[in-house]
Amino acid sequence: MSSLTSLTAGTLNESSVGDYIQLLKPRVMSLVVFTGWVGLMLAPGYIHPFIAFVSVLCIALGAGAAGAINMWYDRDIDAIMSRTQYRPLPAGKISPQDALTFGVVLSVISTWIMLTLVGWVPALLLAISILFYVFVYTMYLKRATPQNIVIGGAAGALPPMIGWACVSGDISWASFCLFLIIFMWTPPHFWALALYRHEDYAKAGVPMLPVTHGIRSTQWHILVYTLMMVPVTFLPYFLGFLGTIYLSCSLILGAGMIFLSLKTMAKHYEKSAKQLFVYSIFYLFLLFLAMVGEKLL
Amino acid sequence: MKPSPSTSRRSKNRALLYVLLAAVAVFYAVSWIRTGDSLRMGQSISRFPVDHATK
Repeated sequence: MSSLTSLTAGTLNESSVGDYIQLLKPRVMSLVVFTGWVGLMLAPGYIHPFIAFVSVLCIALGAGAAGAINMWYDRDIDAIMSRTQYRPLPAGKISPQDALTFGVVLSVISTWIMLTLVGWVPALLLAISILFYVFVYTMYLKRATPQNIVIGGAAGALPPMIGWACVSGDISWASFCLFLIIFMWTPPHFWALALYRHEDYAKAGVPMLPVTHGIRSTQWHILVYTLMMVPVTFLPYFLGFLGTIYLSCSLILGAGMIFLSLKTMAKHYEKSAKQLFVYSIFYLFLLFLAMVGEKLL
Repeated sequence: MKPSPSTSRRSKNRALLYVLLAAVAVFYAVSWIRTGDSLRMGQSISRFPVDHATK
């Protein structure tokens, strides 16, 4: 067994089911699953409840698998950063080999089930999402460029398109809008985190924007990207697949994002950056909840 | 023949989508040009212009 594998953090401690669950990045997964489910709910057509359940499960497993492989690859920098040093790999609870095997097996299983029980379009999108997150974001972009989360955001933005394709079997402008909303939400969300964790990223040598271009530049980037993102959230209304309830919610929620982005421009930005980071999570959740609410009413 | 109001609204909305997508694409391209500098294998973040420890 790989429990004999030596780790940089020291000897391997006993691993529990909880450690493997942690390897799946459950907090990230919950938002991925939710947005995937919303895509599934909004898509035109009928899906059998069991297939819908399987679809969401596959999205969850695929996201978790990508997270596990990410933790395997990033174990060196995770051990340096205070935010991630207690993850199962740097803490020595799971061996790198076990984590990689777990991630790869889950990736294959989730894509295979999606292909055989749901359809080839969602399976292809799921595979692209996992491969992009692992090979493009984790292995290249993250350590190479301050644009890492800008381009890498595409992986996290795919779940609603996958959910949509599970029902309709295709890719449409409407599902692309859902993708675009998350894609454009990702930079301000992660830069807010990077603002108050920039020393951690610098210590680990990760070229996040505050590390490479400074605090002021990041504050401006957050504001401008937020100002670009908010109008994009109105697209579902203007394209006619969601109505005024959604538009009202996106206006109110978007105003909150802009307000907090402006607040983050202050000299003492740490508290506001934290608020923006937390708010942005609720923002995306509530925005997608409004979509389902509108659809169900 | 005059297009119906709904067809006209739909084509207006589609035009809006294309304009917005073009704006987003230009914005991302400019952003990439300004901050998309990449590290090559073995290079450290210190090659970026900012003093990352203090700024």
